[in-house]
Amino acid sequence: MKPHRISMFVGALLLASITTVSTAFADVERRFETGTCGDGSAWWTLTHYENGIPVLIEGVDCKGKPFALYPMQGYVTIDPGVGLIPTHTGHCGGAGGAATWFSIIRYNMDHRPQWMAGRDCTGNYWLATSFEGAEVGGQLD
Amino acid sequence: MMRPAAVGMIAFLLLACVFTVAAKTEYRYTEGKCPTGEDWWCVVRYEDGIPTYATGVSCSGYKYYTPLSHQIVAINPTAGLAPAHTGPCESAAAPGGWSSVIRYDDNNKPSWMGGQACDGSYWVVTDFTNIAGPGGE
Repeated sequence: MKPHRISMFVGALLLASITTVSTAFADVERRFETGTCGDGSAWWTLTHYENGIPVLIEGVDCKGKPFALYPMQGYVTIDPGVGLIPTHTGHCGGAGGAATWFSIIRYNMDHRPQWMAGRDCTGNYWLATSFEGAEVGGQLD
Repeated sequence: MMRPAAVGMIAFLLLACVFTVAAKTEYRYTEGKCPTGEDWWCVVRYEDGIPTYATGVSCSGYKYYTPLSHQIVAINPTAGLAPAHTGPCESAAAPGGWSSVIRYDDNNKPSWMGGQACDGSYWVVTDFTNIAGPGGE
């Protein structure tokens, strides 16, 4: 085997190992919530977390519209949710960092998430900076 | 003394009010582990105890959106089975509330459902056909 092929092979092997390790240690959890809207209809959200970081929020809002939001986070140095009651909590499986994660969610009038903050399994505080995504279909009524 | 036409109009309005009371919508969530170690999850929407759609991710990793149509049956199709989902009813026809039993296929996607609605009737789901709809593939 030629030297450059060997290095390519080793590189691919290393990349595969890193991918496997990071996939294996991503602790995926979901939290479901539902409630009644002001007009008597119902809303629901399912928030997907990976190691305490929200990666997807899907659900149906008070207008009956289904949505899928991909929150983007920025790390912050001070706990942005200090004094607030966590909406979701969980245990961290990996060694080091924090033993638990938490997340606070604030919703808009239609009960779509509009503000999120929390602490992930590395022990870092995060704040959602945007909610990418939109409605994923038509009315569900 | 009220005119008969006025009495009729009032009676009509009262009936209209009774029959336009909105159905109570509720959602129920179930999740579990697949043999592969992955997770499956399922959200079912109920209106007065009758399922109207199910959405979730099965063990195949496939996201589904399934509108559910049902049929009223004369005999309780879930007698002796533990309900997967339950809820309260405001009507006297089902004092114990509504209930629903779900059976899943090998990929943990709903494949059979039966239960009792808030009007006291028994139902079974007759169609689990997926559609390319909101949140589905």
